[in-house]
Amino acid sequence: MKKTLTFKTLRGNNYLYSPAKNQFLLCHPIIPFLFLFERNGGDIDAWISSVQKNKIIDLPPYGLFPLTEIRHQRKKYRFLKKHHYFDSPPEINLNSKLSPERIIDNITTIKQVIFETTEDCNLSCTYCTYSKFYINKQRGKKKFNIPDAKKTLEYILNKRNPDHKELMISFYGGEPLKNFPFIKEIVEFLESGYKPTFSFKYNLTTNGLLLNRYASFLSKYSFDISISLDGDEKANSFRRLKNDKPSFTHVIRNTDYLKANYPEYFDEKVSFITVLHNKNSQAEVHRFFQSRYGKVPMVSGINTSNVNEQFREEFKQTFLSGISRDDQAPDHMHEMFLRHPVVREIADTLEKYSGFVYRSPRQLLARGSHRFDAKSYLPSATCLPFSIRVFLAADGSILPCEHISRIFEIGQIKNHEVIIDPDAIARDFNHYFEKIRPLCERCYRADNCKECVFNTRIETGDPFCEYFLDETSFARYFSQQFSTIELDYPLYLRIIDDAFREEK
Amino acid sequence: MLSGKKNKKVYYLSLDPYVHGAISDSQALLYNTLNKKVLTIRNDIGIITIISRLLQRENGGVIPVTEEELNLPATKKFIKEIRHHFMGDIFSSEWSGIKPINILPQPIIKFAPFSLKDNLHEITLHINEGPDPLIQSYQNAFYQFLFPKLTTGKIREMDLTIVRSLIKEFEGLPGLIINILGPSISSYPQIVELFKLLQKNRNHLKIFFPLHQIDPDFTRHFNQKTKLSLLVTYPIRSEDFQKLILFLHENKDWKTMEFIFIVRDPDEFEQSQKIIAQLGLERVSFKPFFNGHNLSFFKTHVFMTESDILNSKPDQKQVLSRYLLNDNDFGKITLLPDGSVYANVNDPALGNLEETTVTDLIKRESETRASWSRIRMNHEPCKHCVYHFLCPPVSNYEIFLKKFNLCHIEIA
Ligand code: SF4
Ligand code: SF4
Repeated sequence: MKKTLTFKTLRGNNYLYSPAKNQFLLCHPIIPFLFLFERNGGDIDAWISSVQKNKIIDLPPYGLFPLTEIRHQRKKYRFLKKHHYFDSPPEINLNSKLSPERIIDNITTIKQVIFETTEDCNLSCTYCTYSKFYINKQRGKKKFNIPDAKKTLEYILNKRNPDHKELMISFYGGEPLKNFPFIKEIVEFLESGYKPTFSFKYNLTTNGLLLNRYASFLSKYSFDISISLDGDEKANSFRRLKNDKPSFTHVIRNTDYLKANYPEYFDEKVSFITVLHNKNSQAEVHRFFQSRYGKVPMVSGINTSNVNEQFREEFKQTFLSGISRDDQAPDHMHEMFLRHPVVREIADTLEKYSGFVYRSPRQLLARGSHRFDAKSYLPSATCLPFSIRVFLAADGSILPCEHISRIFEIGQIKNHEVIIDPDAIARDFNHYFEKIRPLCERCYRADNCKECVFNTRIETGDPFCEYFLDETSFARYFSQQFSTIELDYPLYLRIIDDAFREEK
Repeated sequence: MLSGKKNKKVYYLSLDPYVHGAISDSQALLYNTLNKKVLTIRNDIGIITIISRLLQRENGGVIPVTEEELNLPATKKFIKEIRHHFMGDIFSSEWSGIKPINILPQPIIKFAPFSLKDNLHEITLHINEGPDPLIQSYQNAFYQFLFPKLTTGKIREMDLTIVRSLIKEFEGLPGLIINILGPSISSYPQIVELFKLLQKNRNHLKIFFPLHQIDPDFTRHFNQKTKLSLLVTYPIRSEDFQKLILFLHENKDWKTMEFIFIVRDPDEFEQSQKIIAQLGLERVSFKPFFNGHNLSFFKTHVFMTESDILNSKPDQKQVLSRYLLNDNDFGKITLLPDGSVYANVNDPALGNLEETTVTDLIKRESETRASWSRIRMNHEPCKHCVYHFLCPPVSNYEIFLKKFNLCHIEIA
């Protein structure tokens, strides 16, 4: 059960967070002392009457305080207690179950279908999940079979709810442009066969090596393109050609070509994906893309799951040692604002835990607390099958998304037939939820979870969640954010002014 | 001891985030939403300045004060009071290396794509409008509270297709409150179908009848979620009073009925009280009606005094909502027989259903919130008044009278 917790910032101010009130409170150091004293079974009144009058009392680690002040803070503590600051709210109910009907319904409104266009790639990046550093199987060369792809699209579109007109079609790889005929055929199949009943948006993630060749087709169909690039030449040095030469100059040449020849399209539809490691930093990457292309890249850390134990040390040495710290600089946070992970997290904390951010005007006008209800939820933040997307692998496997291991297959395309069994999928998912539930029930983040059950080693039967927060770590999480706000109050003001508005 | 050094010691004065405050030229007010304690400071510029600094956004409810300032008798007294009423505290800079912060008690409504469910909970349908000689002098009541729209022209009915399309648009919404008004509801041509349509979707229906139109037969259209509200105006004809007695006698359910006494002066107020006692009425309310000549009645019976305001004791959420929304109006729309739609009948129409859908019009209001966000802080003279967040949301009376301060407060 989530309890009130107190925390101290790096510079030493004390705060409390009350889940029952959903509010943070700056507090006098004696308040946490009294709260913890009582929580540990102490009798505050008995203790106060036992200390001598007019004495200065040492309350480690909070400091020295006169008895009169302790008495006053006792009153305040009681006042806050009377007004429910130390109540524990009802436990969040994580006992919901996924039903096969929900899955069937999801298929009719799915937002994105992702094809693994080909398993093959024309790069050989040092940190590729098919490199020696990961426990994945060898990269294959399979290409997606065109008739099977059409069959699957027919299966989905025939069931589609006509109110959900727009569907996103994504081409993933390997390097998707290595199987361009597939892309072309699928796009033409959809454009000629299913419009205007439905409308399609296309996107692909590419390493950029073949961009120049297919730019005219991609711009004609307004593909959203994400180019994987880690920054300047040095920053990009883990991304290498098959002959182990750096890929940087080739990618830059093609990107510049796109920019020069399709300037409007480039402005609107082209973005960058960057992996952070020890040869770049948020700040450098940000500067590079800003100055060269006027864009802000999507950044993510290097993938640390499924690392091959045999090479774990080398992995750390190669990619993680000496990671740059300039990212925490205030200037940089202001510059990146919500794209900066620290700023994003503060905004998230304010939204979920400050009690002052409301989902709708009605919620603000409704009487009573808005945070806790009697509904039951599924544990974790796993996307439900077909609720948002589906990943169709070149070998016929159907997976919840592109990030998930093949062992979590939710269907197959076999002998030109799409096999999806909602009962079996629901059974499997409920089994995973059953396994993670005890952990989530203890987690302070349970009502604000962002983690997917498939990232929690669920297959081992002994799940481990990197984002699990117990009381101590939850307090530390708040402490870090409040320490940042103490140093930079204008950043906090900007967050409350701008973070919750419509994104333009 | 080095006294010079001692005087340099800095403290931080902090206001708790459940405390709200306001300042005017020579007044300041702090209000604790937990224990409802109000602290008013008048004419003490030093303390008003401190409060004003505490309320400045960039200070975030925490300001540094020197030991010297702290030792000034007025400041000392003020801080003592703040601590005594649990509104804030004093922190020594020796406890930490940095100024502590507060999360500001400032409500934020997160952007979300428009949803009808979040923006609509009450619809008022004037299914007809026209003359009613018996209550014609109440023509302006329509602008002040829920009352039929009286005109001097011919009776005009709302086309049932409007209601049909409304119900279709609102399908799937949780039950709405639907108020039905008109100077002659019982003679609405398709009354049976109208009720059938409106009673769908678990809607709660409230039918507003002027007393003289009371019709015992009419309740046959009602279901469990349909309630009658009787509008009692003066003078009451004796035959109407007899009809009422008969109605109460014959109608087992009359206790669920609401009686709204519309009064213009102390006499009518007194008469109403007599009737209530005589008939043992339970669900009653009073609506003062401004007829252009009875401002003095309003001054005594409607205008708020300081103690009315202080006794309202809003909680934190009520105060927060008053920074952004008008709770009297938010989520409510009114439709007139000609298809025009209003967020507030005192404002220009949002549009007409001949040209667009009601969903679009609600969306428009949810974006501009011209009526739904009419808050005191944005209007003269309330915006200069320290009570602006304690006072109830701006009412139709104030909009109709074009006077936003129906109160006895002199703004200082
Ligand atoms: S963060 Fe991890 S442990 Fe916590 S609720 Fe989410 S999945 Fe469960
Ligand atoms: S009505 Fe306006 S002027 Fe009067 S007390 Fe309220 S806020 Fe002040």
